[in-house]
Amino acid sequence: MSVDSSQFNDLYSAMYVPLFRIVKRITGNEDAAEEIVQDTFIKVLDYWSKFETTDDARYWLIRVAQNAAINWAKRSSKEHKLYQRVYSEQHVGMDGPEQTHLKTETEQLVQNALQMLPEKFKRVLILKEYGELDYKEIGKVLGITEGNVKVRVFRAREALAKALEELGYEVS
Amino acid sequence: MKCPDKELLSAFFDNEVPSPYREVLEDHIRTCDHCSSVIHKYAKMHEQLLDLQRNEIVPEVNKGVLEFCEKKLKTMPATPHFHITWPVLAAAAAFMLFIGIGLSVLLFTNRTNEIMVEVKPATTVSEYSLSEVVDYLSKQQNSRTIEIPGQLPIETSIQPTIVREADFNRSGK
Ligand SMILES: [Zn+2]
Repeated sequence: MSVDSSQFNDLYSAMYVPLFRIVKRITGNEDAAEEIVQDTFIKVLDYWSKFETTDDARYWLIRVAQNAAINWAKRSSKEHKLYQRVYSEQHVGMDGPEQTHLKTETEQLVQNALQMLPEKFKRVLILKEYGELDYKEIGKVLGITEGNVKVRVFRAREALAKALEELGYEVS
Repeated sequence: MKCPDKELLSAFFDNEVPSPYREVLEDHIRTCDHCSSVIHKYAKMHEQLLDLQRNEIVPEVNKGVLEFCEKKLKTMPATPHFHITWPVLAAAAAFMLFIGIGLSVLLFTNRTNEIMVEVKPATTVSEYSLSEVVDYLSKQQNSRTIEIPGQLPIETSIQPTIVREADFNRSGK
């Protein structure tokens, strides 16, 4: 694409919120989410001239931000677990101080169940539910076929239901 | 009607089943307790997942980062972008093919011999084994340089068969 700042502006304003939500769900950390999203936007500039359409740039942004979020979560998973264990009883979850909303018991349970899912299920479900992408778009982001997305979304849902049950919550 | 598998119900829930299958499924789900309970379960999980972010505050767009990006974009060299469509590509390929055929016809009709000559790396033969050399040459189509240790390189012509045994025979000199 041409070096046109209006196109970039449009992409930035359209993608900022969904990217933040996707990354926030994976990292569970607001500060990390903000940082990762900003880094990703800065990085996309280096590849800008290689994208044919804004959609290509969009899929790239989601893929790179999601990867960065997963890496962040892996790196800090040990600290995360400790932090969660220590603070979850006094504070609410592992959200930053700006977080004014108190999570209900169910919300905490759902959050934990989501974290329990294998990575590939977590990825696909987060893109579906928080990225508001259709199967075709998810396929483009993950580099898999639409048929594979269909199977994976289904398995992710079943895995989530099972995880919720294991945590003592009956989904019916 | 037999119940559809749950994978299809999941796709149906995501609005990924096209018409007219969609309508058939709708009719079935409406009258089937089992399938409607599956859809209900997916709907409930969907709501619960969305609840996680319902009251979350998304930090405002960072103006500083946006300005930084805009500045960076302005300093980037405007790379010329040629968009080549398939018809153009096909036409170009056809043109090249045409030129290629024309050129080779021209060259091969007039200067066949020279065209056939092709420079190849030197071949080193271990011994003065003439039969090996002749064997080797007869398999080759073009000129080669043959180095026999301790001898000057011998140039073969484009017709290897004219290298006669006598030329290589030490005693026959
Ligand atoms: Zn049924």
